[in-house]
Amino acid sequence: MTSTPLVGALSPAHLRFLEGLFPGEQLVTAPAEMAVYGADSSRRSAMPWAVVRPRTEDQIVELMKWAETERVPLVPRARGTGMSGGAVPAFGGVVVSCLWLNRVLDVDADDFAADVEPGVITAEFQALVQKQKLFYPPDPASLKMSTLGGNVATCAGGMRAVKYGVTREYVLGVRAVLPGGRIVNAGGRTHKNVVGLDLTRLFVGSCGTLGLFTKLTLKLLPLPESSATVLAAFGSLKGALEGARGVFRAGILPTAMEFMDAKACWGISQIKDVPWPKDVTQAVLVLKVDGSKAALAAELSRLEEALKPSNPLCLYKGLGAQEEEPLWEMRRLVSPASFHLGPDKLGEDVAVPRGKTVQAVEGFQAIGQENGIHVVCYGHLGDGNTHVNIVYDAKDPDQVARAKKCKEAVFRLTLSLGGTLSGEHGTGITKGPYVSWQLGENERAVMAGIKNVFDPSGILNPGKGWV
Amino acid sequence: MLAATGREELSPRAKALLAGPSKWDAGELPQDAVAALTGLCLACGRCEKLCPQGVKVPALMSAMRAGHPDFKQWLWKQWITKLGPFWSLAARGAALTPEAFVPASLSLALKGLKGLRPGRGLAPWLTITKLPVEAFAAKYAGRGATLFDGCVGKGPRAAWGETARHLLRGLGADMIETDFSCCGSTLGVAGLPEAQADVRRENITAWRKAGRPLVVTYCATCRKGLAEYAEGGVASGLFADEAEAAQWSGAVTPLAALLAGSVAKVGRGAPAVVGYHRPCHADAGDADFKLLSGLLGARLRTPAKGGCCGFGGILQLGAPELSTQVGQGCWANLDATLGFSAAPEVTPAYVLTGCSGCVMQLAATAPKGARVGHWLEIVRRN
Repeated sequence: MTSTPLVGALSPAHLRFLEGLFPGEQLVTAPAEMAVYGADSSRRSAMPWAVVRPRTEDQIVELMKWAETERVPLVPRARGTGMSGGAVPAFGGVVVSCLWLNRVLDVDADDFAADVEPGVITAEFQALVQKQKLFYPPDPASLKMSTLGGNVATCAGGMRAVKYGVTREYVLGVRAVLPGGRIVNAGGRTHKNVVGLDLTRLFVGSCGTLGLFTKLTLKLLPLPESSATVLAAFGSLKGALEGARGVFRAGILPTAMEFMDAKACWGISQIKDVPWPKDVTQAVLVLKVDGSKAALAAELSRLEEALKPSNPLCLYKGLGAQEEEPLWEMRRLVSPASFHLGPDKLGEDVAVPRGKTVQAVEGFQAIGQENGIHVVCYGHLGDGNTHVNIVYDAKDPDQVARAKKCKEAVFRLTLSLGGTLSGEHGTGITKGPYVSWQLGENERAVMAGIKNVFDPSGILNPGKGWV
Repeated sequence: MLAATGREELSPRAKALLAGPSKWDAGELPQDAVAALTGLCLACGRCEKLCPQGVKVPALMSAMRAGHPDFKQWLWKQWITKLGPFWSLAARGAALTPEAFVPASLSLALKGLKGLRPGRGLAPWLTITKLPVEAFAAKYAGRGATLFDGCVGKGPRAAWGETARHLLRGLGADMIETDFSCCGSTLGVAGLPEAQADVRRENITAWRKAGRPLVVTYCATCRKGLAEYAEGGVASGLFADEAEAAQWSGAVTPLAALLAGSVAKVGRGAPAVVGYHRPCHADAGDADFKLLSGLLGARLRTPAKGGCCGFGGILQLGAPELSTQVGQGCWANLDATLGFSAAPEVTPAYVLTGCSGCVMQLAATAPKGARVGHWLEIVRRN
């Protein structure tokens, strides 16, 4: 069977159709206005053919019918905070912005579930459910800007993943429109559901390649009463990792367990007074626990005891948001601090089995030294997900080549340790060419077959995922 | 603006992308269209606070506007530099101008002025019973203080300045009167760098003549605009040297910060619930909010998700519909916290802030019956 290729540009008839379906400001065709819809946080960009902003599911159904018939590629988009170019129309197409589908349809404190449209901002949703003492844990770094739809499409992670898991753990159901206009209701409102294949999980992390979300049903938890934080500095990376092991061995499951390596600590010290001794600190751990106010004071003491055998250089404690804030500010400063080492960076987010983290980070640092490039490591120690920032100057072709060499060496080392190329950013276009390093031919063939069931003409976000 | 409209082309990223090094072919993006789009900036500075690379989008926009002078800039310049002292009169005039005769592009700015006309201020109901006299003396004894009134405080809301002077005298400040000009903030945003440089020079000359006293402000945008003088101020010749620039930085102080620790008594006529709108240009610790929450306690409420009021200076003339849309979003956030829309006749919205631009904009976009003012308006002078 041969399929008709996708069109290479929009015809006048196509534009007339879009004008009819998306009146007024719902259709954008001026290049200056469209430009931003072709970019995301990967710093890659491509000009969309047109941008549409549907307000209703009916419009999406009609759009999908038309795009399937006409073989017009569609690129779903939310706030464009993805780091791997997943929302960039690199292979052409009409961008579908979901920002005008932004209603919270229902929050039910008895069901511990909420129905939302995909364009709702994650932090705003969290603030809303908190009013009912409910908790939506996923906390990607972009949560103040990114949307629930974008988080689901990328299976966004975050710092709380060590205790609460990532976005997929909180998606009970997905309502999506498939190419041709078919509507699929995957999952439901129950917290348990084993009837049929788990289509919900297929949608989560599919990067807009299987369908366009119109409704998400999310799982909620009771809101923890309070939280507490410990920041500890160590004279060696191994010391910090030993400290982390001590915490787990003591039977404590932190909400977050973050680490920063020596370069990250140095970078932060360039923009802010730091609480750790600058000359000798090789790694810093920041740990958060949550629970009842009464129990947290005792939990802090347990954390301190658990870290003591690893001989921290210093240890600071904070109980409650106000005391915790200055400690977490240090962690948030890592990304801006890395720009003190160079104007450009490749931000990788590899993950290795927890027990291999020391080996991985030491290896990444050695790769940087071998190539004469700054490599900054920090991230979610609790789940083995390390952010590896390869800092360079894009104006220098030699540095560009060395940065790429570093990136590929980081990927090879990660895979050799049984890890994955991406813990939370997704593959998009920046990691697309490397997917075959991790996934075998059979696995990719199965994935291509699944994609074909949902999107037989390949109109949804072409070129992304498992190329 | 993105939050209020859901239109990404109005986002800071869009502006940075279009104003920065081009990723597109020269012919692909018409420069006039780029200039028009990037000009739609509220200059609230919220994006600067979030950007990991510290990209200053308002500064980029200011440069873009400077490169594309047009009628609206000229008009804004006249509005600020020539009409400032006559805003009181203009406010009266605005109230008399039938809506039908007002061009659409001027309607929002005129509505803001209407809200400022004499007699439209809030009635005072707060008596400050104790001022932090000792703390002020310990820090500033022997140093003169001068009040920077700004365009609104010099014009239609002269009462703000009178109350501020009353409070400063109560603190024991050695008051010096200085003939300051506009802070220049809004001129810079409008892409009028020469006009901005002129007023900055005038102000620094006046400050020197007054003996380099403490410069006390009660408008968040004026404070930000004045604080920005130090950035590049030596290179531009505004300051003699780094030491003088640092002295200026140290001199610019919010009035509310000097009043921290005051004690007050709430009198008759006080609303049960008072909203606080946090200006985008508030100082890092938001001294106004700290002072008010100390004085008013649980009576004061502020939305967690405050949002920009949508004033945006020249945007009032360039895109009043966007400015209004952002303002409506701000009122919706206030309503979610204050709940005034449930029974507006019983508990109408009552909102205080610490920025003259915010007062104008909130007055222009307020729901019926709402009362808006600077917090100085509620303070009794007795």
